[in-house]
Formats: sequence, structure tokens, C-alpha cells
Amino acid sequence: MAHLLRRAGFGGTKAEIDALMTRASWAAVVDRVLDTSANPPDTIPAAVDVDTDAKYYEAWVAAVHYWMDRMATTPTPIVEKMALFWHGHLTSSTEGPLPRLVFRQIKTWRAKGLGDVHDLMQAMAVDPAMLDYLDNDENVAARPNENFAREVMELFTMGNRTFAESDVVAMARAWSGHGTADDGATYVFRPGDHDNGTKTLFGISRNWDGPATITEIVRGSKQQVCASHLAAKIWSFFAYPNPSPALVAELASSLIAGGMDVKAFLRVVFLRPEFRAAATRTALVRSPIEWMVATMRSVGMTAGELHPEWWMSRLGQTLYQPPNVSGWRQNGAWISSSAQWGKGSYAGWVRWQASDRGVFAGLEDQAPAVVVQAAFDRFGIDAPAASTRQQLEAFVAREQAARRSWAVRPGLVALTMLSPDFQLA
Amino acid sequence: MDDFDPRRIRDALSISGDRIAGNMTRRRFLQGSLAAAATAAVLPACKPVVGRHDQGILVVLHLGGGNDGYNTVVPIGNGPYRDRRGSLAITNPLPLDASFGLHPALPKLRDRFKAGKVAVVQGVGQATVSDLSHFSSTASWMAGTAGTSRSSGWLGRWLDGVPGSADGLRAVAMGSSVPLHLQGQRSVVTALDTGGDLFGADRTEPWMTSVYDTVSAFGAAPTGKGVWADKLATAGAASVRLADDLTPMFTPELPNDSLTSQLTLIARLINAGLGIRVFDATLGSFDTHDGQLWEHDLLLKDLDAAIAAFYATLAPGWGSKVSLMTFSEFGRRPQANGSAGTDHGTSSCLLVIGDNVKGGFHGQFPRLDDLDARGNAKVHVDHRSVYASVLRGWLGGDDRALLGAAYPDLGLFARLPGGTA
Repeated sequence: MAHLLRRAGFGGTKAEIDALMTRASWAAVVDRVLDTSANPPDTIPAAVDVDTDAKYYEAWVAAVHYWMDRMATTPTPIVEKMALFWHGHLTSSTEGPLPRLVFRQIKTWRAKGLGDVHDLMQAMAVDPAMLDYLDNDENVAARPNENFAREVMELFTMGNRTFAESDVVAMARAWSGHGTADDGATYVFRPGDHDNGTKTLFGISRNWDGPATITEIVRGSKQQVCASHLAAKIWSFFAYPNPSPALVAELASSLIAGGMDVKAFLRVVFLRPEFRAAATRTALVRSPIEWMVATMRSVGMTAGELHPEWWMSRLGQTLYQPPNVSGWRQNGAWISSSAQWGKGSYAGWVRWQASDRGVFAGLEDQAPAVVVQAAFDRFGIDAPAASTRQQLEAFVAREQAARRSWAVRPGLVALTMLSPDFQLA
Repeated sequence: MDDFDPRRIRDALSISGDRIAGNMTRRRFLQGSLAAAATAAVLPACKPVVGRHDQGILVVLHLGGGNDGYNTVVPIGNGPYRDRRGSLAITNPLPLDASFGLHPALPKLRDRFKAGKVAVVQGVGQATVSDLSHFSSTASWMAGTAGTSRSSGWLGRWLDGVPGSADGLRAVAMGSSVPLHLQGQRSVVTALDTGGDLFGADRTEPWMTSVYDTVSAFGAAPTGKGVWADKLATAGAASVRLADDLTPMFTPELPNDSLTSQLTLIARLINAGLGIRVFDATLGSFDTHDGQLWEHDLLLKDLDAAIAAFYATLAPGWGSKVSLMTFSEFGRRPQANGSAGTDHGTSSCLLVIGDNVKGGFHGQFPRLDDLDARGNAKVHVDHRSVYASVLRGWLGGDDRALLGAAYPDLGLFARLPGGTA
């Protein structure tokens, strides 16, 4: 249960876990987690809408706070978790496009991220931030630009080594003329810039136009390839990396059988026995964003109070700025001395904010075992390592013995955040 | 070389108030001077010192995004170049010889070339390229293997054979994660951000130490919660230990510019004599699909300034033991793309810089009137041949085993590490 809340969202407290325990079956629990009827209206603050670099930082902070708070407080975390997945998959970065376009792109991922892959990919291809980020706004018949054409196949839908270089050329021609209006912020199709010649894509010769290529990939001759690519990537994000070819084949069939619907596919993922296996529960490291959101949820504080934006770069994951078009990597990519220093620094800051707000109030003089169990319950750690429990209890006992009871609460906040258990997804 | 001993290093670095340029302590500087004097007393003044592979230090600089070789080392008076590049052609390069000049943003690098300390390798690329994506190309460059495995990097495999690489500082990557080319099986690489503020360094109050001790204790034994929990726990413990040792490197404050701060910190780490053999730094993005003239100029200015800062910081005596090499996942297409930029190409040039390199031109210029079927530059030097040359001429090791096949040695080095003319 705690595992599902961590993977489908950003973790849950003991109270939230206990509430789900009352459901009749695992399927009923999964359905509850996937029920997005309570998804709050998506009201991106106007503060993100700036056109000048001079105001970029303030706008970025507003966009970060908006999303981090949404992730931490929403009653439907799966919507935000899936948007975070698509942000790292259908990447656009504020290094290039108008920042507000990237901030607003996430709204599309929220609205369509759990729906039909075909709708999502069509929206992605004409998203103004994407048109700029991968240069399709400069792709015209007379001067093709292949940047988007390549990545839409290699990264977004089909995968490495599943197409020919000639397909890149054809794809670029098919998407020529799909650009932005003079404001650089609105999609527009310019027929005069479109290549109306015959192109041979995936061995099929006709006058391909951009949207039809997406349909061909998601619903046509490349559906199997597309389903395999996305199924493996989604499984890696929610369960564990590098699923076996046999599992990918089964998952791809499920994705196709569900009409390429993401939510239906996630139901399949969460119901698979592999998803609930013991090894799966320890197979993912929380990304820095997930770790910071889980912290906000655990201590019940906002982004405006905890300022996660000050640490994102050091931790290696900056919202709205994926490192490159292939997005963020997993697990080992988050582990280094540097990232641990960054986490230590953030935990060292959060401990004072949280203890000032009364987190763990009244616990400082209680028995170490009681204090530490309260920390596990609050931070949603359901199966702590024996060594974690032992070391945290030793810490509490040591501070009490040194007559530093005041150090128990902040220390426990920081150390629970820094425990290997809380850093796992 | 002695194994890394954090306590000893910390002691050497914490002599109060005696820091000199480059963060070298007075005591260490004096030791170095005495050692040099002793050497001079034993050897006749003009007799060259023969270097040793195991003294070699390599700084790898990734020009991420695909650097345009044609506009970095520019062909002079070359008609096909001007035709294909049009307004993107560099018309005022800084001449290196009659045929080639450097981009005008690289004046200090030109001086270094004139001093014989820069090897320019032309026409380098992936001889067996399957596609031109950033991902595939970067992975292939970093893996540096004759096979198709992308699970380790050429320097990571080399590090696996370096004494002390499993538990000490033998490789440091600037930034927050360890790139593929430094990843091996057993060796441990530290990612060091130029921002400093190392959790575990500040021990001014007893309660702080109590927190650090608990983090260290998380990593003292297996967690029983799988390999990733164990890795997280040991990384936490290692970070506390390292923080204590590395804090002096961040004084005085590092410059603001990204690459200059990376290379300055690397030079200080070299000066401290920690036994680190490989460093990784990055600059980019060089993915100049549009607005190339302006963007490329800014990037190369950063590069020029950062290399100058590196050598200004590096303490005397290390010059003959340090080489810096650049690489980029691919070059740009000869034909400009019409958005005032260039699309992904194939071969490019790379630079190997150092007192002991064999300065001048290596490899072969990829002619613009002799392109492949897709209109891309021909690859004359396989990137693994560069690695073989660095391994044989500089770092040592069995290049054939490390790369999975034998590749020609380009002869990029005039002397072994530490050797003098």
C-alpha cells in the first residue's frame, strides 16, 4: 500500500495508508488511486507569463512553486506523477523557448497525460514550446530541419534503432510548415512552407503530413514498436528499470488492447504481480523532485516555506529544465557524493523550518523507540531497515543523554529525510 | 604514487594563513621546491627527466551537443568551405599555419598552439556510426569500445585497474552525477559541484557532528533493503567523509563562469596532490541548429578563458603531468541548414593540450568537396584511436583490452607524464 502511494504519487503518511487499507481488494485500491475525479482545476498563476529574460527567475520560481505545491497537496497525485513522467519524456526546456510556453506545456501533460497516447502525441507535436525547443518552427520545405523529426521517433514514440535515416528525412519533410505564428507562441500551419511532395516513410510512399505520421506510429504500422517503447519506459518509471523483453511484450500488448490509453495501462501495471514483488519495492531511487515533494508532504509545508527551488540544480533535477532532450536518467544518476551533499544541505535547512512549525512537537523527551516510530509514520516509511531504526534511536538517545533535547526534533527531521529508506521510491 | 590519505592531505592543506596561489600550502610548496632542488643536485642540469605513465593526469572536457569542427579549426582560403557555409563561414580566423586558423574567439589557445602545447586532431568521428542522435553518439563516444555495450566507459574501465580507485579519489566529475565515460565496475568516482557547501564539513557545534555520525552509520553495514538502499547509505557516509577533506578547495571563492569555475577547481585539486588521475568537465550546448555564429562565439570565448584560467591556477611542476583533451559527440554538417545554423554532422576536430603533447596537426582534415552520400564529412580518425593514443602515450594500460580491439596510435605525446625535454 505504501509502495503504491510512493510510486503512483509522492508517498503517504500512515493515516493515508490506513485509509486505503479499508478497501476490499487490491484492485479497489488501485482504482481509488487512479480515480482522478477530484483533480483540482489547473490554474497556472499569471506570474509565469513573462517575455523578458530579466524577469525569468521570478517567473520560474512561480512555476516551480505552483507545481511543487500541487504535487504535495493534490488529492490526485497520479495526475502530477504522470505529468512529471511526460515532462521528462516529451522534453522541452526553458533553455530556448519562451519560458512561459514550457510552464504552460505542463498543463497539457496534466490534461492529456492519462488519456489516449494518440491525443497526447498530436498535442505534443504542435505545442509551441516543443515547436521551438526542437526547432520545428524553423522546418520549412526549402530548408528542412530534422531535429524534431528525429527525436519524435527515437525518443518520444519508437526508440533507438527502430527507423532508418531516410525516415528522418521523410519525417522532417512531413512536418515542414508546422510552426509558430509571428508571436512565437502560437501554433500555426503555413501551407506555403509545407513540402507537398511524395515522401517514403516506413516504406510507405505518399504525401505525408505531420499529424498523419503520428497516427501511423501510434495507431498504424508502427503501433507495436511504439507500444513497446512507451510500455518499457512507463514500467521503468513506476516499477523498475529495464524490464525483460518478455515482460515488455506482454505490457505492449496490454497497452494496445487498452486502446493506447495511459490510465488503463497504469491499471495493468499496478495489478501485475511483478509490481508488488518484494524486489520491486526497493528497485527505484526517488528523483530529487520526488524526494523534495515527499518531504513537503511529510512535514506539511509549502514550497513558499521550504524553497525547493534553491536546491534543484545541486540535486541534479531542475523543473522545466531537463538536462537534454532525452530527459532525466534514473537510480544511479541520482547517487553521488555531490547529490548527497545537496540533500544534506536541504535537509539541514528543512529541519529548522519544520521544527519551528511544530513537527514532532512534544516527542523530544519520550523514549527513543516511540520518537523514531513517530518519524517513520509521518514520513511514510512502512518497512524501515533495521539499521535505520537502530541508528535513529541511538541518535535520539545520544541527544537526550547530552541534555540536548532541543536537537532531537530538527535532527530527526533531517536524518529521516537522509535515511536510505526515505530516499527510495 | 602514494595511496590517498585524507588525514595527511587535510593536515597538509590546513596550515593557517600560508596559502599561496592555486591553493597550494606553503609547506607543500616548500616540499616541492626541495624535491626539485634535490633532483637538480643529482642530475646534470640539461639531462631530460624521463616520465612515467603512472604520474599522468587527464582532464576530459566534453563539448556537449556536437561542436562544429569546421568553425573551430577553420580552413583558410577554402572555396568549398565558404560555399557551403555561406554567412556562417568564419572569415577572420587566427592563423595556425597557412591552411588553418582558430576561431577568433580563441586567441589564448592560439598562443598555446604556437608554443607547441596543443595537438589538433582533425577528422575524428565514429567510423562505425549508426545514427546521428545525441544520445547514441554520446553513449558511443563515452563507452569507447569496439563492441556495442554501453554499460561502462573507456576511462571507467581504465580506472578499475588503478590502485586505490575503489575506495579513494582517483576520478572526479564536475557536476552532480558521474558521466558514462568515467563509469567502471569497481572504481568510485566523485561528482563535485563547484558550488561547494559540503554537508559534513561544518563541525563548529557538537550537535552537528552527532547528525553527521548518524548519516555515516547508515552506511556502515548493509541495509537489507536492496542494492539501491545500500548505495544510498554508503554514498551518504562517503559524502560526509569527503566533505571534511575537500572544503579547503573552495577558498578563495571560485569564479562565476561555469567552465572557468570547473577548471579552476580541477587545477586546485591537482595542486593539492590528492592522487586524482582523471577529471571530467563539460561545456555546452554546442547544438547550434540556429543562431550559430553568435552562440558558438560565446561558447568558444568561455572555452578560451577557462583553459587560460586552468593554467593560471595550476601550480608549477604539474604542467608536465597534466593533459587536457576535448571531445564532442559529433561535428556539424558541412552545409548550413538555412536557419543560420548547422544540423548534426559526423567528424569534427578535437584538442589535446599540455606541456608534453606533440603540438601541431594530427589526423586528416575532412574535405568539404569530398563528402559522404548524405553530405556529411568523412571520418578519417576513429574516436577509439584517440583513446588508444591517450592510453599508450599518457595514462598507460592495455589499450587493446580496454577498448576491445587494437586501434592506431596517433602519436599525440612528445613525452611521458613528468618527462622533460
